[in-house]
Amino acid sequence: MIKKLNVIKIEKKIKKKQNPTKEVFMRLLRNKSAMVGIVLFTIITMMSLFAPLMVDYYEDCIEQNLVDRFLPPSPEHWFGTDAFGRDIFARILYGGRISITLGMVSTGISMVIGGTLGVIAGYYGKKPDEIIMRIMDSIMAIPGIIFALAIVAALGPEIKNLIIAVLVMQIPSFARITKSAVIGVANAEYIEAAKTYAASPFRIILRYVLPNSLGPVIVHASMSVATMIMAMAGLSFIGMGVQPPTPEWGLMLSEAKEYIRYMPGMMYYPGAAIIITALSLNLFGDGLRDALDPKLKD
Amino acid sequence: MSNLLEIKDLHVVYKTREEHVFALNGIHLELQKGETLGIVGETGAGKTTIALAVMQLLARTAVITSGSIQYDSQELIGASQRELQKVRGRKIAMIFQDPMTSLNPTMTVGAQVEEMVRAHDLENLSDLEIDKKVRKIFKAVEIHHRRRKEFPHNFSGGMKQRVVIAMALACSPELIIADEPTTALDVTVQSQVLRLMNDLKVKLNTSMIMITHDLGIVAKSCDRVAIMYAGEIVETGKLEEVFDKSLAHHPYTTGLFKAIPDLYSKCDRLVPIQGVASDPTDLPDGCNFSLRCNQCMDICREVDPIVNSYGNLKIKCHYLEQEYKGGNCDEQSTNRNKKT
Amino acid sequence: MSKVLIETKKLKKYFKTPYGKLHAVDGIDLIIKEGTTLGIVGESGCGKSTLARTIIRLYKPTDGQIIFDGKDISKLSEPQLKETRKDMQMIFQDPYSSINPRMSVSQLIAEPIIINNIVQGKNNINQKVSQLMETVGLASRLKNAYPHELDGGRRQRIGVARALAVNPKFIICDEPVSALDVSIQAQILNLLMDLQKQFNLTYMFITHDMSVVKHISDEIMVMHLGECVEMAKTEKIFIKPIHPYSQALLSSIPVADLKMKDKPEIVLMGEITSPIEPMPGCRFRSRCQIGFACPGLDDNKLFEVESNHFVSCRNRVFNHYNISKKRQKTIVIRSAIINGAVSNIVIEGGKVRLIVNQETEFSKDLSMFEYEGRSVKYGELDELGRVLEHTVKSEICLNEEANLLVYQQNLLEGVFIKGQWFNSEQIQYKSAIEEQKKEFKTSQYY
Repeated sequence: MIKKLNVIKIEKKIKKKQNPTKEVFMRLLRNKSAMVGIVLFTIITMMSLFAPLMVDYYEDCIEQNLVDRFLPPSPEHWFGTDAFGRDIFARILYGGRISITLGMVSTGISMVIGGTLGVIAGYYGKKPDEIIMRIMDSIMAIPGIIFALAIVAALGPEIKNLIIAVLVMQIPSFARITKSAVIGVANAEYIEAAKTYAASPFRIILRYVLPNSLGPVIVHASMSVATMIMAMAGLSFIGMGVQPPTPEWGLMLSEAKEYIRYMPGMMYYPGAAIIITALSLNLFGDGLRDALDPKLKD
Repeated sequence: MSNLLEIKDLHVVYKTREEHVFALNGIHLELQKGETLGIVGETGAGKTTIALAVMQLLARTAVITSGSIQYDSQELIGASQRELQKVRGRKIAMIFQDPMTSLNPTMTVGAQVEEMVRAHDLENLSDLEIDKKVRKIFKAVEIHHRRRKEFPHNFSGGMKQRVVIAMALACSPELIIADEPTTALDVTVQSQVLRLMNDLKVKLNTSMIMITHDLGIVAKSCDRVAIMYAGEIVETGKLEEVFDKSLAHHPYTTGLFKAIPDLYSKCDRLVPIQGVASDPTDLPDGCNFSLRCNQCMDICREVDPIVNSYGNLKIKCHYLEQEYKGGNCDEQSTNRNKKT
Repeated sequence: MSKVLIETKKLKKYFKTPYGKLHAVDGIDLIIKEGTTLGIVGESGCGKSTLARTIIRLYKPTDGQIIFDGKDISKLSEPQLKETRKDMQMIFQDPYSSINPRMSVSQLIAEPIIINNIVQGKNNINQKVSQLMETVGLASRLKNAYPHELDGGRRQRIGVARALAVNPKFIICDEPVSALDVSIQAQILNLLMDLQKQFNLTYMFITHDMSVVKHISDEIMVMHLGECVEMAKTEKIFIKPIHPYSQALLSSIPVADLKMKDKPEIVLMGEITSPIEPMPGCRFRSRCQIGFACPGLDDNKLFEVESNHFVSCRNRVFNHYNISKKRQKTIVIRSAIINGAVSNIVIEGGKVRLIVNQETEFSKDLSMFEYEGRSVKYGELDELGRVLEHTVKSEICLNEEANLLVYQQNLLEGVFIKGQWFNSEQIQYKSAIEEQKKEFKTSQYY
């Protein structure tokens, strides 16, 4: 039996020719979940950024008002008040400033340090590779949180020590990811070609290796911010991070432990803030990975 | 005699979000039993797409917009997976281009050939009998059966390709589609593999479609030839006639022959085909070869030519049509078509 | 006579693998004269790409010398090489992986110019880039295009433009057209040949495709597993390949011509020997069509069978000399008039016999076995001149350069070089010997 196949009409569609970086950008824009992630994260960041315009730091976050304890959400206090009468919404906003800033700064620093180590290990190989990777292995051998705790305990619970503690945890993974990305590129023929016209190693790394290998690193960085934020919340939760009365999401969760019965909102809002921030960053990271390697999705 | 394989007016488009690739634009092919058909074309002509279409193994982004593929009077497009399972491997087998990637690196070669045999085992053979069959197959491809316990990475390229051929022949298929089987191999190994394929083909009376870009290979192994450009078959005919320089040919065919550096004579400059390979996302109106053709006329840019017969050659070209006053039908003798 | 631009002497490059040393390039001697093209042919794994990369100093040679324009560059460090790098460039095989995907066409071509300070200033650089694009046939509208938008042929043109940017003298083309379609191959080959004429470039052209190499090369070297097995002028290799591997290679090229369909084809059976810690002896013996007739125990040494035609198969070299057997009689008759020369060699039954006809001072120490089929004695004269007899057997052997040496009681008597006899005294005067760059080293033989 010969089945008659319907003739399907398909029109011409030609791919627009553009810069490879722009193409990745375009693909990212088309990815719905990634866009949701970016939008969410932008909203949270913007709100935290403009926090001083909306609420006053001392008045709303720090000053205790024992009369107004445990108030439910109202036009005056959007999320209600906590055990000390402080406005939860204000604390979330200011907490966001701390969390997000710390997350991005520590990611940035560990990306630079880990990335540089990874590039050296990947490009030069042999001895430098061995030395660097063994150092990274020894850092990774210690469980992250314990390592961070040790640093904070040794240096004191100040914010800058917190950053150091958290970023040291992340350096080895950046080093590894950068190294594997660089190795993938370092043996390419265009690198050999560059050597034949006497390009210096510095130029080769900067203009040839990095632009072609940064993809996985950036993806990892976006997810790393989420990890850092959660790590810091964790440290603050156990009291080894930010100290009261500074508003910080993890700390707020810790404080809310005792008052679950009276004011569950004290826990919901900071918890939700952490979840939404981490989720949006992860969605963005996923979308970025797909945009950089569309073959994976097919 | 009815054709073993018949492809009629096949159109395949790869639809992705960013572009639409018009891979096949109206393919007509016929293959008879015991015949070897060579499909010649350069990169992007659509040769692999034809092979995959016959096996119904096209990528998810491919859409068959029209046409029919009939194997032994059975329509393959739209057939159920079950029906296709019966055809694939047992009746039509495929040899892929790159032997390095067509073998599973985690299984021994013996296990892979055995898997083929078992999958198409209709008689429920015992283990011993299957083992005997595997040994026979290895002998046929000139690999010592002791090596069947080894993994693919221990084999050289030529040996891997022979294993792939062994797998294709495991079930004595009626038709073998070989997609550039020797492109990745050295020229001395290529001789070995081609000779082997020819021997086995003769012994088992298998029909074959040999897809290649190398006219030399076609000369050695094919009975009929089809020349492809930009998703269309521009010329078909018997081997002797396509290679006969005194007959009229499609300008692309002539160009291909001229562009090959000749081993036996000296000349100063090669004669390339001007322009670049066609862009399957942006095909010109009219004849697809118009942008590169020396003989391009105004009508070529507007109207797609139709296939005409010139003796036993089927060519689609406006220029030839004009030259031989629409040479069609079987009335005209080949003499009339010889170039003066 | 044009000068020699690049020369290698016993060039070796070994790689360390977990299984031992991989002999990628094992003792290659080559000479390329200015303005000519040397084609290097061989199959995958024979070491041609490694040879290219070693000569251009992407790798450091394990041993041997590379002499570029009179300077030995094999042991120089990177900073010392910077000047020389401007004179040698390379065009790579895969146009898809040899150019940086993140740079536009003009940026790619400008890179070598900027790094080597060929011209300075943005305007000058742009002008030079435009000039180069025009030279290689790239449309100027493609200046800001990216590689992934272009097809293989255009990308390879970028490679050519990039190589030309530094005004090199020598370009190594590592299979530049293998990844391209036939119709585009012809375009790029024509371009390369035009550029050679225009800029007096010297090429080393590597390929596995014999028809391409015939077209573009003046001389061809056939490589097998890191060694050179045959080297000669292009026409010679195609008309009369001597080494069994060259013969097999040539016969297995599929030709798009039905008349050649039934030409006898040498199909190599057997598997390739491994280049890792190879056994001494001939590396081709496992596949050679001569088969059991040849034990294959000889290491790779090039013999000059004819002027500028070198072969490394001892079996074939002896057979080659044997061809002159037919001319034996005439030569003997003619040579009787020549003073002080061994007139011919007869190779029979594995032994070599010298036929001497001569009457100078040293001749009485030479031995003579046969003359036209009969043994002759000292003092016996015939119409062709005096002949001599010697009771002590002489030893005869072939040296590296396919010259016959005659020893008597372990002392070198003399050497037979391409039809001329030189006795031991003459050998000491090097000036007696004039060969193209082939100096006869006496110390080797004592």
